[in-house]
Amino acid sequence: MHEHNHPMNCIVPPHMLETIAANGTPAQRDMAVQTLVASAEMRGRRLALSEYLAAAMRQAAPGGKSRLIYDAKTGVSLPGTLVRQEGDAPTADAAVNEAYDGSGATYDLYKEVYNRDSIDGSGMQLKSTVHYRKGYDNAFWNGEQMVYGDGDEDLPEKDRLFNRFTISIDIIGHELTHGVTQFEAKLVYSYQPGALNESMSDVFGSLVKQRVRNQTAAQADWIIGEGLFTPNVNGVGIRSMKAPGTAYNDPILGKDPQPGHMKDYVNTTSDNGGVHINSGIPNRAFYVTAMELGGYAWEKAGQIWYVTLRDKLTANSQFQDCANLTYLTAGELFGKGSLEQLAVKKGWADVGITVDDGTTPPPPPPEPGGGCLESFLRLIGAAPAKTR
Amino acid sequence: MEIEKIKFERTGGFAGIRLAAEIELDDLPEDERRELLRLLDELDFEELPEKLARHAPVPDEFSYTISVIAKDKKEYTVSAGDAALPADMRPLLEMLESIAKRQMRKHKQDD
Ligand SMILES: [Zn+2]
Ligand SMILES: [Zn+2]
Repeated sequence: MHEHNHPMNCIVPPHMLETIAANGTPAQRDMAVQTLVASAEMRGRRLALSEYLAAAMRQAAPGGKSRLIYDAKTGVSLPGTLVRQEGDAPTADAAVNEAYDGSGATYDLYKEVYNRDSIDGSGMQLKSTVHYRKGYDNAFWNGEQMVYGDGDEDLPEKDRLFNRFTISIDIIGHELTHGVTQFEAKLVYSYQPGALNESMSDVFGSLVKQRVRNQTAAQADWIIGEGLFTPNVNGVGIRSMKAPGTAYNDPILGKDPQPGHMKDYVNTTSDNGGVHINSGIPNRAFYVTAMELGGYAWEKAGQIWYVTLRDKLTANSQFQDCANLTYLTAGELFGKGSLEQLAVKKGWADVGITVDDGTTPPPPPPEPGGGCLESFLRLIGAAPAKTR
Repeated sequence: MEIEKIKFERTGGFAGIRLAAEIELDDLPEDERRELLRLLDELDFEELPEKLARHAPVPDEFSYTISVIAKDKKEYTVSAGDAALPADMRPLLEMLESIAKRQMRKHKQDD
């Protein structure tokens, strides 16, 4: 499996890049200008050095958006027959086109907003298989690719509960984000780390949908899997990030079991320790944070969650860790005591988790001074390598 | 082994919606009952290890647990994850899945 790490997490502030842009060699200027443009797109936010690093590596290696859509033709073999690849015109098959467009929109969110080149951060091809098995009510990430079933298409219409799983774009963003998590925090898929893994997938799945629809946090419905149920089901979708536990209530499928507060945390061994159940708690923490901040949720709240997933969370992180680390990240990105940091605190408080805001302060972040600038210049080949 | 009933449970999946059924063999249509017994026999179900294809959980995959209860009340349980399921288990699971779905719908109509 491909692995990468983040050699440095120091921050290069825009003013430093401006200095490089003004005074560097042509190659350095190029790099700095590009970076400034990218960060201007992110509304002047400071970016972690690892992202500039990733950008620098991308220039050397071919990468970019590369989607491959396969058809399993109701069989179990993966990936199946290649039916559409990057740049190909749409086909007559809705599932193929949805997988193509949805993985494209997910790629774009990660690339354009978080400056991440695909699942692994270095241009990994996005593979999707549609029409997997017959009557298959599911979608999953198998460690290498996304897989989508057609729901209950094998049943008479009156008996169908699920539509095809590509129908809802946030499901595609959800599955792809499982890939991102696999390369980054590597959250274990059980109990609280598993529920955080699930929640990250819902968060970025929802952000893909919100961005495609150009919706602010207040305009978004915060429903995961909208349109997946047929009209035979009493429900608006699979999960509600805004009001966990309210997405469906149906005589056949039962009631949405998600809690939205720690007091309702579900202790179970089923579903890998309730990973699809207790994810309601961090989902709502994200929703409240995003609503506090207003505007487009992918910008500030999404950035905080993304950097936390990439740089802070580890395999066994618990909800409390995620609360502390999103708070820490918000402080690093936007400043201690900033509105952004307070919004994160409020988001977790709403679900019954009190952020540990550092009576024992974490180690100070690396000085964004000469040391950091020097390493940055060295990395883009503008300063001599360190000699002993 | 003389089989009395089969307990089937499917958990996880993207939707996280549990599908479960208790299937009394005597309640099944004759051809379905015969086919189910044939599949169990072919697999040597009672000889299968309790956990098939151990692997780290795959995000959003289904997990299956099947318990076969004999007339002498002996119980044989097998669980397996969808992604690494042995191919020869599929026909049995698909059959149990479709019976379970049918039961779910029937229970609703009975209400
Ligand atoms: Zn990374
Ligand atoms: Zn998932």
